[in-house]
Amino acid sequence: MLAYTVRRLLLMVPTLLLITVVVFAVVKLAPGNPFSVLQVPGEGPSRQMNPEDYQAMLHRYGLDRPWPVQYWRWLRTLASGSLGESFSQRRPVSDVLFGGAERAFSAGLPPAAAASAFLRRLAESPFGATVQLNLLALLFMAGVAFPVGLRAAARRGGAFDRVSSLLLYGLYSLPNFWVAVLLIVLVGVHWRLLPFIGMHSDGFGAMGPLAQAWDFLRHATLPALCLSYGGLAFVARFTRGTVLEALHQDYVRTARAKGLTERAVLRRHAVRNALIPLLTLAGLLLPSLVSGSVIIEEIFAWPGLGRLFVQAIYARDYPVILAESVLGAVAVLLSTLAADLACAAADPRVRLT
Amino acid sequence: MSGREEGAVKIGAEARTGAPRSLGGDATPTLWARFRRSKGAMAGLAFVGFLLAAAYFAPLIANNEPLVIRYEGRWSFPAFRELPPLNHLLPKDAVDLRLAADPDWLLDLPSKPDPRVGFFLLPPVPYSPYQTRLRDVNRGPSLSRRHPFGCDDSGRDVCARMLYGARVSLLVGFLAVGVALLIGVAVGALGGYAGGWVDAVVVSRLIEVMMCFPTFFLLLAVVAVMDPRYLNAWTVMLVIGLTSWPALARYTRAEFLRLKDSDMTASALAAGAGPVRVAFRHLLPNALTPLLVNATFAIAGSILLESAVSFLGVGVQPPEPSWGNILSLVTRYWSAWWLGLFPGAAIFLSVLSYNLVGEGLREALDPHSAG
Repeated sequence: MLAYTVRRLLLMVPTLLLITVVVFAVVKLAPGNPFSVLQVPGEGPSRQMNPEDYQAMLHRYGLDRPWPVQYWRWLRTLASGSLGESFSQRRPVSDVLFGGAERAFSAGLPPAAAASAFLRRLAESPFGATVQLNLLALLFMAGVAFPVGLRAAARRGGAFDRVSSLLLYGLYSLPNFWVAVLLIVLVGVHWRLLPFIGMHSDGFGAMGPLAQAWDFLRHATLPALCLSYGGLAFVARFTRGTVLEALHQDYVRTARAKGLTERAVLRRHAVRNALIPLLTLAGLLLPSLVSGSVIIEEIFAWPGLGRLFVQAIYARDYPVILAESVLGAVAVLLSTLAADLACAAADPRVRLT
Repeated sequence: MSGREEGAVKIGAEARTGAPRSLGGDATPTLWARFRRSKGAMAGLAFVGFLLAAAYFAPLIANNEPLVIRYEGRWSFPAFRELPPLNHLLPKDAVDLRLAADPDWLLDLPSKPDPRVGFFLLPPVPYSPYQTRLRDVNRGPSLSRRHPFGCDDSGRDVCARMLYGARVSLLVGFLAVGVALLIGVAVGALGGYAGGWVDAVVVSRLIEVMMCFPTFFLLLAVVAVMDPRYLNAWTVMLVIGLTSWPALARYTRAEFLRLKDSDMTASALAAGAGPVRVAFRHLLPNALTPLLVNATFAIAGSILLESAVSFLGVGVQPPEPSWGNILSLVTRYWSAWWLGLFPGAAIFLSVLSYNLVGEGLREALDPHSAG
């Protein structure tokens, strides 16, 4: 197991390097730079940047250097952990993304207090906001999709299987930003049932812990719903597929032959073995969750990484765009790795290939 | 559904005994026959056809110029001016009539008669997609005013904008996937056919790395750094194509790997065919059918991506209409529900249609994967 883990980690190094190359190339190949938007020909002089200032800005951010130099400098900021300096906020990108949480450890606090300060700061950062929202969405997804997929597999071809697959298929094609808009119009504006802007109400800091949790849940319900329902179809179908496959195995026939009830066969034999491929699902789901976060957070003004990304786009804040693109890809890479390692731990045969 | 599956399996069993499946020749009728069995897929296909018709005939359905008018004693057809090839077939002076600059002139005609105008017929939605009218700002749907889907924040008719937006949506679907297919097939074919270090070191790594990026993220990163003056429907299509090829490359590579060791390849090589000829004349046609299914799903994905970036305001820029940028207006005027309902429904229905067509194709091609 250790050898397998080490091998996989070593294989990740060239992949990581390639990820940075792709991100850098994508941004460099696209026409334009952060300041060219301020040099629009045909706009009035008041909206133009004068050529000397333009050159000075390019020089200030090193954008006038040859691209290998720019790439090397950027790699160094990645390696140092600062991820570059945000153009619009004028502080390290890591501070913007993670709220400077790591500084809790260098403040000279006792370890326990430092850890709790670290967690609190992280939870308040854009990274923490996104993680909280996605965890809630995953919880909702698993809570609905597993039972549905299981029941559909248990009575394959039955009414429940057909209706649920049809419904989930329709859900899968529903654009989440449309659902978000409709939910806001109906639940938020028309019925005034739930808040739909931001993560907390005013005066959140003064609330007790229970009231805080309740307030968070009320704010998170609509965005988490929008994030999760698309994956619902995917997870339910995947569960159904893997359970069905497990049901075709010899050991299930054996279990039936020795006279176990259908319920026991399903719970103890089929489901347990179907869990292994389900572990890979996390890796498959993350890209869609990350993509979904961007647009859903923007609609609900959720102060997470997705909203930050959109704001960085509007502000043409290159370092933030670059850092978040790399972060997104690395998250996918890591979740795939974690899923593979979990599979290897659960099934020794995987390690040999 | 169960009856359909039994039938499909029977046909599949017959097909298996025959020659290896191919796109052309005698396999086509059975493919169509099997495809036709799926009601969902046929409904999807019908909706795509409806969209094509609506997008093509948009100038005849929504236009502030009349379909036909008798003006100063001559018949004219101004609405056909923007509709190739009909505008070239009709006499030039019959479509080239430029009427008064005031767009409401013909609508107001019943109350303000004009002696030069005889008979005239306006399209069902008598507004052009770009025509702004102060008195219609954020007006709700109203059939009597001929605004079936209401108006946006500049008083432009939403129905007219959606009809022209359908053009963007359809084009994005086909062109973006066309670009993605070109790149994906080239890369996938290289990896799958060349194998060895080319595949292991270059192609597989490249696909693996590209698959790490959520397509939407990559797409946003590109449009984010692009000059806004280059942002229009065409560049958005190109960028979607350039960022969504990895999945297609992966399928092509897998198909080529599967086919490379077949007797078919061996016999082609024995007959003296070169590697390029084998790859593109022998392997590609056989890999094309499964690719077709994935390309159909990719169309649905591209439409979704385009509407999402336009929704965020970094895709197709107003006043050029797209379903995504119409929908985004609702986030500024939450009470104008029609700005949210109709464009979103159009996106949903077209995405659903392409997904249904893709699903139908998959079942028709491989009856055993169904269920």
